[in-house]
Amino acid sequence: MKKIFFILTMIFFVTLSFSQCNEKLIDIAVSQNRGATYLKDFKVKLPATPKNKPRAIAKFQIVLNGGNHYRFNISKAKEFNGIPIIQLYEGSKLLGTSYLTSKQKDYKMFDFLCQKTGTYKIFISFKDGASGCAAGILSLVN
Amino acid sequence: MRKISFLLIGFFIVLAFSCNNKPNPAETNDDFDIPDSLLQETDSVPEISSKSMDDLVQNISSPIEMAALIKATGSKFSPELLASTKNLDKYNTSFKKSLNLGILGADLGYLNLYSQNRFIVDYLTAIKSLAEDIKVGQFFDFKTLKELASSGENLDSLTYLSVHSFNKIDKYLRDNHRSNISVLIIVGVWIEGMYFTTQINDQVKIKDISDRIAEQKIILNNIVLILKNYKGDSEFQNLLNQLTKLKEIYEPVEITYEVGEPKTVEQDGILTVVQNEKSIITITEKDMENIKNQIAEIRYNIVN
Repeated sequence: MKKIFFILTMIFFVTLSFSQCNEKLIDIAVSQNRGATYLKDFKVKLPATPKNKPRAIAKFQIVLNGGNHYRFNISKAKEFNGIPIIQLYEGSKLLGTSYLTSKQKDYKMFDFLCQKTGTYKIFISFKDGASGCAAGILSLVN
Repeated sequence: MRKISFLLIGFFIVLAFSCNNKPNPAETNDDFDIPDSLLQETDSVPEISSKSMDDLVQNISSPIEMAALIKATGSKFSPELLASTKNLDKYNTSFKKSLNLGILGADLGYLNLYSQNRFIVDYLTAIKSLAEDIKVGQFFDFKTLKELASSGENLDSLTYLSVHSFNKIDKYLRDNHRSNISVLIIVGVWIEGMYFTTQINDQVKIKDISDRIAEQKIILNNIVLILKNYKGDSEFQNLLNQLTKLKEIYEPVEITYEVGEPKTVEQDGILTVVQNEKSIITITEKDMENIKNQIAEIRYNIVN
């Protein structure tokens, strides 16, 4: 009985310590922005989307300033399989994406040389509508 | 003993399942839940209702971006631009404390980017006091921030922790229906950033800076729209009046756009998108002078 109790206790604490879908994920994502200066984070946790429905997307509105070099990067919590995609839109025009469908390649980040101050939108979703947990980071490249 | 063990095992099983991060639509998580409102388009919203305050545009003002622009022009550190930390006793309402928290937050960003450790501890202490007064002091790890500032090492971490703390405050306030406080902090950061840039522009006349000041016409329109939400409060109304006057001064400033398609290039494994749509700014020296003076007056009324 004591053994079972010990094993369950260990499983509980190991599960807890390895979970990344929390504030820790912001630190992880910031550490992967290749030295750019952190400005904002966008935390997302989305359920899987049924195949006959449009995939779930978290949308955020942000102001970007003309003349600035921005970096968008995204990291996922390792206990989830969903590959996160961060995209930048101006109105309905897609400007940048971390995942290039044409190449089937996940870059995990992209840079944006902004020439126009205004309101833009960040979309965060998971490839093929999978469930996932991710943190997107907006940084300023010095 | 057996009963206790069973109870403990049951407790851990329940707890372990509650911490299992496999998502469930019904499950809630304070950190990573997205409000339903964020999943909808908000383009056509003419006015901001208190219900949709969570949808507010983010990054309206960043303590880092204005400072980075000034530093990029080669301007030297100017301590005379900073707000004093000796006036805290004068800030006797939540309204004044919140605005000045934003002002000092922008100053901290400026100090961080110029690695001015000797001032940073003083500003952190003032920020701590204001943050605690409006019940958001828990989001600053002042011990670590002060240690980083005092050691003079790892200034990147200091910048990150400072900005992240302000972001956490912003999120907390919005989530807890205290958006009025959050808005004031944002406006404080914006006014201080504008004060820095207009003052520096007066000395060095660099196009990048004057363009940035002119383009703030767009941001000011957003800020005025947001503040109108709180015009029932006399302190907000007073601030709104001053910013509306600034908006009127901005009227003659023209911003037009040269249309172009964005280009994406891949270099060293990083995708870079170059926006080819440019803004063309028309602003007279007189307009710039009027903007500088009005910002200085608004800022004076806040910090004194």
